[in-house]
Amino acid sequence: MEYAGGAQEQREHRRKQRFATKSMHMTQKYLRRMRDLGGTMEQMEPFFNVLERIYVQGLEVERPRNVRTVGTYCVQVPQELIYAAGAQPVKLCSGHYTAFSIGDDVVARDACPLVKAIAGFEHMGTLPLYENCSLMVVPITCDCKKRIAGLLQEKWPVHPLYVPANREDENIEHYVGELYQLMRMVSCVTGQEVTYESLAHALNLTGRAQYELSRFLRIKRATSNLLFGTHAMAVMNAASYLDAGTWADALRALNDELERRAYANKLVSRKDLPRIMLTGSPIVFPNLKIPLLVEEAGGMVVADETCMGERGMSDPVVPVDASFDGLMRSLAIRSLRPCPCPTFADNSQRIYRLRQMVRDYRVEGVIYHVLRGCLVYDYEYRLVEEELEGMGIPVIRLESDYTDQDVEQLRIRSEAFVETIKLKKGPLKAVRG
Amino acid sequence: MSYESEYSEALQRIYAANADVMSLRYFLDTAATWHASFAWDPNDIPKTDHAYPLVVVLGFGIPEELVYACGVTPCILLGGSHASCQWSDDAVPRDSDPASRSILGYAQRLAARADIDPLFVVPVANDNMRKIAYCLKLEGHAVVSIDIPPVATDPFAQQAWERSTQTLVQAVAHHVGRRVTARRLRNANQLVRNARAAILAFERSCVECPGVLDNEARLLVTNTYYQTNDLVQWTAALNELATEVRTRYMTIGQPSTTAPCILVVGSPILFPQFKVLELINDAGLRMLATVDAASTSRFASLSEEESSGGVAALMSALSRKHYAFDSSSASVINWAMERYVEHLLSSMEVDGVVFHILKGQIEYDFALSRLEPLFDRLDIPVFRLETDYQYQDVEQLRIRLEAFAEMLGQRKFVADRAYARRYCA
Repeated sequence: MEYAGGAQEQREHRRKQRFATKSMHMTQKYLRRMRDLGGTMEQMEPFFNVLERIYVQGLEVERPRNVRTVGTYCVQVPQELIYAAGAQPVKLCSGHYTAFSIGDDVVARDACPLVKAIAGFEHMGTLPLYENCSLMVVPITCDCKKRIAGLLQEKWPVHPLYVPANREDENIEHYVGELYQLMRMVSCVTGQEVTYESLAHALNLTGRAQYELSRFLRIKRATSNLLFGTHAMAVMNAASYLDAGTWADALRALNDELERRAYANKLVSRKDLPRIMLTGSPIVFPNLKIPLLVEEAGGMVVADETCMGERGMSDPVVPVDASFDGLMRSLAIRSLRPCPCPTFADNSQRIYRLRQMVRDYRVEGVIYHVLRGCLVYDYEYRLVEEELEGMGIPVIRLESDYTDQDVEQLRIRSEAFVETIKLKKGPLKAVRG
Repeated sequence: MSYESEYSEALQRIYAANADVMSLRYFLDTAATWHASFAWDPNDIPKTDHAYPLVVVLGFGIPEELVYACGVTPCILLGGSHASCQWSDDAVPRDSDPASRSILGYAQRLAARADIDPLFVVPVANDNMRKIAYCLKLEGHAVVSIDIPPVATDPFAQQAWERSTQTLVQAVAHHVGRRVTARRLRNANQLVRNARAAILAFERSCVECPGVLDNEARLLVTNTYYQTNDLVQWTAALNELATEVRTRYMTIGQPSTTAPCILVVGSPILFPQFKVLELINDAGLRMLATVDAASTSRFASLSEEESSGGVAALMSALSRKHYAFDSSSASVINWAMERYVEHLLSSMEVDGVVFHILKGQIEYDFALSRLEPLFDRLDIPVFRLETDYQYQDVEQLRIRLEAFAEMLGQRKFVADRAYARRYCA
């Protein structure tokens, strides 16, 4: 019996090793492809490095000693509260194909790949990012998140955060209560109470990151093609594993460089490339195949309306009442009111935001990304399509999974879409000429 | 298959198999009338100047007493029809589950009628309901979406749920122009409690008197609870049917009891989509009970002692009770369903479990993985039956289910022989 147990342990150990090696190779491949796109600059390295640190080197997030990490999932979890309680928030949404293939056997077949990847990491127990979390905050935003909260509870301390489906005043009021509850929970984990000062400090910290983000977006809007959209998305994804201050510093350096390049008119590609916007299901590192395919096909991802991208941090907290409760309320309002997440039963917000972004970024085509099984985004496709059709913007729905098997098919469709936009632009150019 | 032939063929089949049971006819008629009300040509929409208010509830998850208390009979849409899925095909994504598609199909049919003014009550139990509410709202219909807090242990959950039920009552009362009073609430609670008690008594009769009604007839009867216009009459008819089942069992005699007994757990099986029940019948399995989103709500009525006080106290008591017994897919962990399965397994002689999962309803897949250790511990084999409303997989399922039934039969035979040996030796 003892021998059998030992053999089983060895098998399990070998299995984990194989998993770690495969994960590392997969991440390296996507980092390489990102670098191969060209146009990278030295100031992007801190972002690439953190992605490499987490997924290739398999290290935990960089943080001061004795600071605990609290894992979060969707944008409805206010990071400020976690900072205020003395912990560091990390986003645990995953885009990892190797973890997905493990999770595929663990959870329901029709669950979305993002949740399968989470389940895969949970099952293997090899990634320090997950293993070292003192608490996981899972907002109940969709069926898959609802179920994964139940699954994760079996292994980790989990705080399921109820996100109301409506956002009337009474729902906001309720959410304030939920945030107080979350605050107590995180404080319990860290042993540090959230005070007015610590919350104000946390708001300043994330406010600085948001300021740099708004600067980044402003630069991108003003001058096209300063950097590839894939790189911009990697920058946004890196925010999940860096503390807000470090991320803001790195982004400030990048913004400064981008401004210099804008002044010198130093672009990463021709200016007349089709301007594409990505929207839909989250695009989480390392699953950057869609923006990569678009940009490899000669398009330019000028903007993204996804929760791991620009949407994730762009809405600022606006306190109207300087009391502690006022700050909590402003966090609740920021988390719900402007959020275009399809978890809300009425999501007209998203349509307004898309219209605005199409105008701001002078978008010529929209790619609507749907992760297989991500119903909430799939439901909204029809509405978005109708809206964009009214604006004369072509839209294509790309459904994908966390696998490389669909890459060639996606490539053909992306290329065809980019070509269509180019053709559409052709006669215009001729008239102008 | 057209909508009309889908439900009428199913009714004919059930009638033919249970023709001797006279009291069943009321339920066949109820189902036929309800389904016929959707069978009209959309190009031939009746024109009228006056539209009467109708409260349409989509899916499980809300206490229907609250709608009855506003003086209206709710039109409850639960799905179940493959043909109605096609009505909503353009509005839903490919991966949405057939029950939700069917619900939306029915809802759109109702919404297209000029002679009714519907208020759609949508309990947000899952993603489909969340987005169906949005779709209907965008089409310009009156919609009230009712949030169901997913974490029962959350100290604010009860409060949030009570607020949701208040929203529901306010919206319905406003729509029908009739306010809710304590007396109306008490009467509605009594009405629904009597109906639920009748269902439980009927279920007991069917278990204790096997062979009188087949599985399909039994489920059709309980399904019509959601389709009747007159719950008082329906309750009386059900009590009569339960009595007839017992009487016939006494007079006809006991049929063979060697058939393996199963529990059917998971996605609700709804008329006319009784493919799973047909297969269970064909495999020679005896269904003891079903556990789905409707099962536990049968225990959620207030007793006579509990139904005292004013409107606020009654509303609060009702919503608390309903929330405690809610087994819709709204919760992170479906405790109510798990506890009920555990209770049935300990109180009945169950040989196996058929876990029915409608494609796209992932909540039941997760529930199965949570229940598997329990089944393992009790040494009860489980058969995971995943299907949709199409008939393409029926032969494959039949083979699998027959094999499962044979295995159960063999296990039962071996267990019986071992038992006999112990006492004959």
